[in-house]
Order: sequence, then structure tokens, then C-alpha cells
Amino acid sequence: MRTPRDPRPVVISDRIYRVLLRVYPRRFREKYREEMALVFRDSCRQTYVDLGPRGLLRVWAAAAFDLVKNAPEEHVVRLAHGEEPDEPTRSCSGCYSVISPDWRVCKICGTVLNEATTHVTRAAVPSVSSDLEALDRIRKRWVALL
Amino acid sequence: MATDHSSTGGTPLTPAAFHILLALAGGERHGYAIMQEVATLTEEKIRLGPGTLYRSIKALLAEGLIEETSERPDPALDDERRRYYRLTEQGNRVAAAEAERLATLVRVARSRQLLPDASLFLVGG
Repeated sequence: MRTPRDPRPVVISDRIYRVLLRVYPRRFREKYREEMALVFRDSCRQTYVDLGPRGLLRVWAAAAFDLVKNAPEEHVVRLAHGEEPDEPTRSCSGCYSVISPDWRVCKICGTVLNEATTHVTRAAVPSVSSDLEALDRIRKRWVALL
Repeated sequence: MATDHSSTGGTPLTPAAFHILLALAGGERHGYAIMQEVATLTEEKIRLGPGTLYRSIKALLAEGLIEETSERPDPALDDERRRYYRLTEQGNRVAAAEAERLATLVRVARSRQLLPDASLFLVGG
């Protein structure tokens, strides 16, 4: 059965929502991203039929609240279960400083790279400037953990 | 005597989880259908967002209260990306136990006149 084409606002909303789903942890995303996007799309479709384009504002308000509430909670649950943090995003500068023969830390996002095992861990520190003192704090923290 | 309402050992279900179990008690459904059923059952007072819905589904799957079904409708009639869920036997028991717990609370509320007496709604002949 051929489905009719969605109205353009629904199509755009669907695409934006799929991008926003990246805030969820990777494993959760891999398992549920498609279904979540389908639910959102179906909500948009039905609301568009019932209330017109302006009804999508209501869907987006609810979706924004849903994202802001659940994505951080899912990250906390994931970490509480001892799962590995997600791999660094592509926005990581890759501008690494060497803190030991096997370890490097990104001065921008605090990503730590173990050269020996290629294990990557995101340092739980605030965003780092080029401030040498801040960089030194990161180095000391990770060296203490090694 | 404590009643085990969930596999977590007596902890009441979250409202979202209970509503999902309630929706699935009416038959297997996919995510959007669960969301619609919950909205219908609660007279639009509760609308589950995708995040709340699937985080709850994830937890319910992990606890063995629901399962994904292998039976799928005709692909020509439905999106193949949809997954359908149904209650397990344990899920059925847990949902029933939670409903009983809530019914007990309703009885207490009526006895303390926080809720009108149910008999007042009976229509006489």
C-alpha cells in the first residue's frame, strides 16, 4: 500500500528530530532511534491533520521537554550501570597533549586517548581553554588514575 | 504481607511503566499505538513522549515484563521498522498486582471521603 507524501513541515520536523536524537547515548540510539523517530513522525502527521501546521508547535514543545528530561537521565543510567562512555564526537579537536608515554589528552574537550589500547575516555571536566593551569589539572588527574 | 509488585521487589511501577503495561493488556502494539492507547485511557491527560516511552520499554524489556513479538503484520500495511510488543506472563501478573494496589488506595480514599462513594453513581431503575 503506497502511503501519501507527508506535508513539508512534517518532513522537516522529522529530519530535525532525527538529528536531535543524537543527544541520547549511542547504544540506546542504535536500538531505539528508528522507533522514536517513527513515533515522533506519526505524532506530527496526526497533529497536522487535526490542528494544521501550528499544531506542530505543540508537538515540538512536548518533544523538547521529552528530550531535555530523558536524554541526561539515560546518560546517568548508562554510567551508573558501568557502561563505557560514548566515543568522542567528531567535534573533538584531536589537539592532543602527551601526558605520559601511552596517554594523551585533548586540550579542548578533555578526551583522553590511550595509544596502547586505543581506548578512549571522555574526561569528566569542564571545557578546557588553552590555559596551562587547567591543562595541568587534567594531566595530574589522569596521571593519578594510571 | 508485602506483595511483590515488580521484579524490583515491592517497588511500585513508575506511572509510565504501568500505563504501558495497561495499554499492552489490551493486545500487542507498536510504540505509537501504545502512546495513543495511553492517551485514550487517560483522556489525554498523559501523553508519553518518545523518550519516556522507549526508556520505559527498555526497562520493561530488561525486567522481562514485556517482550517483542515476532509476528508482524503485512509489510504492505505497516512500516517494517516498527517493533511490536506484548505482555509476558510475569508482566501480566505485575500489572494485575499494581492495579490491585491502586484499587486498594482508591478504597481507602473513598473511606476517608477523598473520593465520592462508588454507589452514588449507580443508576436506579
